[in-house]
Amino acid sequence: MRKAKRIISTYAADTSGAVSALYELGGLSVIHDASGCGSTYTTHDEPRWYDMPSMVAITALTEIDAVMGNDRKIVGDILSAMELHRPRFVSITSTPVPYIMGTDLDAVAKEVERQSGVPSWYCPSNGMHPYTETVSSGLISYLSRFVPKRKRNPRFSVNLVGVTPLDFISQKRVDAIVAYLEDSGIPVCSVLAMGCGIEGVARSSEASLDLVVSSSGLPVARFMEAEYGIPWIVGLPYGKRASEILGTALKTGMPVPVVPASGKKTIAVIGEGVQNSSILSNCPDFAHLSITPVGKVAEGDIEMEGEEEIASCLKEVDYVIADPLYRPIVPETARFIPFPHFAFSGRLAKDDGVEPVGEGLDHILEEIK
Amino acid sequence: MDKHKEVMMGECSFPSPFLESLEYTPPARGMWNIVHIGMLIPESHQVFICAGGCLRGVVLTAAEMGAEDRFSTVSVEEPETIDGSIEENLVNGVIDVVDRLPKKPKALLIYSSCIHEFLNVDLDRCYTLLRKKYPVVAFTDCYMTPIMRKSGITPDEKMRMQLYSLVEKGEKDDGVTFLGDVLPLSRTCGIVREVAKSGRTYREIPLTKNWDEYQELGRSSVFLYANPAARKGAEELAKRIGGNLLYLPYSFDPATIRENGRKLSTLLSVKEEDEREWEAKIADASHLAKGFSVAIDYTATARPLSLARLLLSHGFALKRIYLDAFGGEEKEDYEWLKEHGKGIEVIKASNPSLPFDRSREEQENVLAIGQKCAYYEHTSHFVNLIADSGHWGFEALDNLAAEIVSAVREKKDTESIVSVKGWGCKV
Repeated sequence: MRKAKRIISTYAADTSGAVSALYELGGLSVIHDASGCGSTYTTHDEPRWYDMPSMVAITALTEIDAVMGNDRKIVGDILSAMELHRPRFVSITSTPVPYIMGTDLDAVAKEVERQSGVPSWYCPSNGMHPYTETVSSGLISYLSRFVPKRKRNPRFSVNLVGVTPLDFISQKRVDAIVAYLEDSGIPVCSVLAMGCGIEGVARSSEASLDLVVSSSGLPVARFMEAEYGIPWIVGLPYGKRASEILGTALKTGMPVPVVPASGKKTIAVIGEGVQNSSILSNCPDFAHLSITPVGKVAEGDIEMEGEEEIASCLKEVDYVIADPLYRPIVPETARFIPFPHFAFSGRLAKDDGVEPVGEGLDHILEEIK
Repeated sequence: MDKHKEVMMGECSFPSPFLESLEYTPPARGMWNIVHIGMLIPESHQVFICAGGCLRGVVLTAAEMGAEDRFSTVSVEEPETIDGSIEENLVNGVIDVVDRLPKKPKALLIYSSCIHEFLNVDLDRCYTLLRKKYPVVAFTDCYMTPIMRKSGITPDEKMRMQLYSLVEKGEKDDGVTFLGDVLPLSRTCGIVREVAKSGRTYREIPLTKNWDEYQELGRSSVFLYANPAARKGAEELAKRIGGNLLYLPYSFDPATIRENGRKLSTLLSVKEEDEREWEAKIADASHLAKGFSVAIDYTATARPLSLARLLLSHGFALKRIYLDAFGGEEKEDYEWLKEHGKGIEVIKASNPSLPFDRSREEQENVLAIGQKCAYYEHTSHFVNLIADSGHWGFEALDNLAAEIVSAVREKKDTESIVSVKGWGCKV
């Protein structure tokens, strides 16, 4: 049965995605929930608490309010909280009980905006979808309200689109990507949305090109293409070979080509789609298997999350690159190479001093090369 | 003062001093959750059935404590919520898990969730089917239903009840079982010493290493508990399998501690213990803590107002108490503090503005008792006391004095300590 997991973890959910994406942008993120989602977010999905506070709260929904539909209380509590810290916006996500009760959180957001004058929105969610969906919808809601179309800056620059700790663990890793690109002669205009602040995000509509660095970034890039006319490509500079290919694509604006792969041995990667593609680009002498539990990116990605299904796919492979919490379902015949993913193993995902940017990934892959 | 957030002790009301508001949970995670508590049943396996967003926190709780092999999940997705298959989702999911376990567990703890309550799932039918399928496995119903926390018995109380639901009535002896707490009582506390003096066998769930020892808990003829959240579970167990039940509440009030001691020694027919030299130790700690303002929070003890009263009456500069509501049994201490501690700030521990009030700089002259206030006050001088940490009676006062002295003299790495979920929980 696909829905039972005997031993592996589960990915961060849509309740957390928008909160993570908007964390640094000065708004109030509200999860309409009884309890639990708030502590899950602060404990497992958000590493920035100790460095940077943000307005994240739950509504503390009770049985009686859920049954009686006391939506006025949600509006009132949000307005009271806004008086304390004057957020720039309000973003609401939801959880299973409001979903089955049919709570109209779109209307709640509109009412909050009507009474406060502060831009407010609801990111459709119910705790049953992956984080990627509300990373996208949260960023799109923010851009549509705060980032107008601007004249293109004549100086070539790129935006990194789809950046949260859920996929990139730490600011250090994001900084490494930015530094690598800039050292390669590719100026970075904006990072959506980690480490570049409100002003940095506001500049994003001036960029020449969007570099989509996670599957969450794809819908955002499509939005930016439609609204601001910014073209996009997909890729990450993970590993020397992938970095070279990406560098060429960025300079020409052409899509990152698929690296032909063939070999007697098979390498499987389980994780976020753009990272999978980038990792596999460094392994042309192997047959490839890219399993993407939270969103397909490339043509050949296999989108599956079930524990048994994934285990079945891994039966014949020689190498597996995945988060350490996948290790229990990797057959003993395959060599396991850990590649932590914060959205899967939360605080257990450590950088471990291994930086995948540039040639860093080559060190990780050394043993199979 | 904004009553969504804070109120002065002299002006607050009982038992709910604050207005309702949005809530926030700080990354101070030493308190045990329902996963940690369930792990106390030896040779058991847990299966949580709920939406992915709810599963995330509990899955990683188990993973962080290295107990992935005792923990499984079944996700509830949209189709099950509308097509009537949610019961099959639960039953078939559990079967799928159990059939893939390398060894059948002695017990299965099945955690249903809020969504099962709201969709009126027939849990009795589900358990009947599962018990029929696996007659050698003991099943118990557990609940991850935070939405029901104000609807009668709380999820925490229910979990402490289900912890003993699989204890069977065994051949009775004159043993004593301490119920409802998650860390073992200190070997030097009054309860453990008095039981030893009586020659009876002492039992408690954190000390059980296997299923047989777990079942031994039911052999005792005396059951004790100190945590108010354990009351319902303790009453249910004593009624079901028989035995004398005695409530010996945690307290920092010497009179209550003496009264507890009298009750216990009478029940066990032993001579009452001599009172320890706690007062001099507390006085020394207070003297050493001069120059420190003190903050406490509700996660440190079941009786935060009793703690506050002790501190205030022994010269500590108690400035803040972090909590969300007053416990029902704390009325007397509340009245005392209202009169003698009017200027104490009572802060709503879950208020979402607290992360912004937290100083960016570490505070040098603040002593915190409890993880949440250590985080909010941004201090390294803190006493890592969690739900009384197994300290009871006068021994708790001795321990408190020693911990305060230690916290004043030596800084702790607050961030790394409070980040650990379920402090002290071992697989």
